[in-house]
Amino acid sequence: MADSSGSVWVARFPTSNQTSDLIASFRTKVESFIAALQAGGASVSISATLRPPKRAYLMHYAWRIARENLDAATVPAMAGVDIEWVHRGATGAVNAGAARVAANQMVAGYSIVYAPALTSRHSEGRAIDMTITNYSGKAFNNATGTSTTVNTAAQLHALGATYGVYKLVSDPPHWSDDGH
Amino acid sequence: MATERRTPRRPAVLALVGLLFSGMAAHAGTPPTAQPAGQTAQVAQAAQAVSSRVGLLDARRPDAPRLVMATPQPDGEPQHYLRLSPPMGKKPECCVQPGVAAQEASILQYRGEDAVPADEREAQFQKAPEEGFVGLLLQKNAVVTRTTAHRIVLRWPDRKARVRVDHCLSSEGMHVKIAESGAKGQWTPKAHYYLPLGSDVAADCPPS
Repeated sequence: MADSSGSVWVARFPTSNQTSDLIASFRTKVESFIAALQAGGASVSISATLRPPKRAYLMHYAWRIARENLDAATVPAMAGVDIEWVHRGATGAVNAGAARVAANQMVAGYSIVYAPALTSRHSEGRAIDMTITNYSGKAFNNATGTSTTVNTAAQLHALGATYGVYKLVSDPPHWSDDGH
Repeated sequence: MATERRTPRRPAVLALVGLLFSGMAAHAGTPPTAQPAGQTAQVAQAAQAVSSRVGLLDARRPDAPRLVMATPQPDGEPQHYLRLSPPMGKKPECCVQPGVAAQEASILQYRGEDAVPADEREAQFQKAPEEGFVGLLLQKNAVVTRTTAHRIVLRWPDRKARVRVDHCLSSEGMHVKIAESGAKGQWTPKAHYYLPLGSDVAADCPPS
């Protein structure tokens, strides 16, 4: 039986901060890069890896119903997410206001303030958010095993690229398999 | 990305020189005059860069807001705030009180090329807003002029210098850049914050 939309959904399908949740090809590259950083004395703090597509779906449509007046009846279903976006009163009549209230609860629970995208590199398991500190002036092995001293952020990004982990410069913690 | 580092400002130097000379006069035999606490605070405030009156407020969870200030304020000193996330605020609202240092910071601040965890503090609204938002912290009496959808200019009646705040969205975070006007009309970068939003959003930052 489907659960009605509302705050109960917020804790489901949480964002991961484990590299094991990345797609296999990217996971290997990320773990090699992080191992090289830590071996060289840098500090790595991971804040997000996989944002489950189900979570992205819930966030996206909760926002659209709550803030963009999307008709709850028009939300497409998603496999594995047994949610009922349409709310009904005691007589069985559709209650659009109740659907918006429930969607607003989800928006608040997810702490959304800007419209969330439906898909992203994170939802595909192809991106990681991590803050790397204490790297400047230290030597790290690149993917071919050659030791290289890193003094600047650009050099750090170049080091990551040798592992197939590419920096999206506009978002400081964000690295992915293609730089997006 | 722009890089910013705080540099001592001329008013600060002048104020320090003034304080030094007043101290020397006292040692030279002039009867020391006790400075009222309020006056001391005013002198200290005047010595700070005006951009230090602006901070970032992450109130996406109104029951647990976080904030970052350029200059730490006395504990409990209420701060006004201006909403940035839609619907944008037209004037500052009152007030949020800074609390203790946050255990884990999510807001990043650019230091040179790198974005590192900012000096983030927990906070509490005097009256909790109904919906979450992201905004600016402002010392009281700020006069707000929104020049574009992504730019705000701030001034205070007691200071000539103005503060410019540029804000925009990148793929999954919000950038807030704070600059201060100089004597020759130039803008000097003072701070650059990045707030991760926890999801991908439609980016609207101009190409850098």
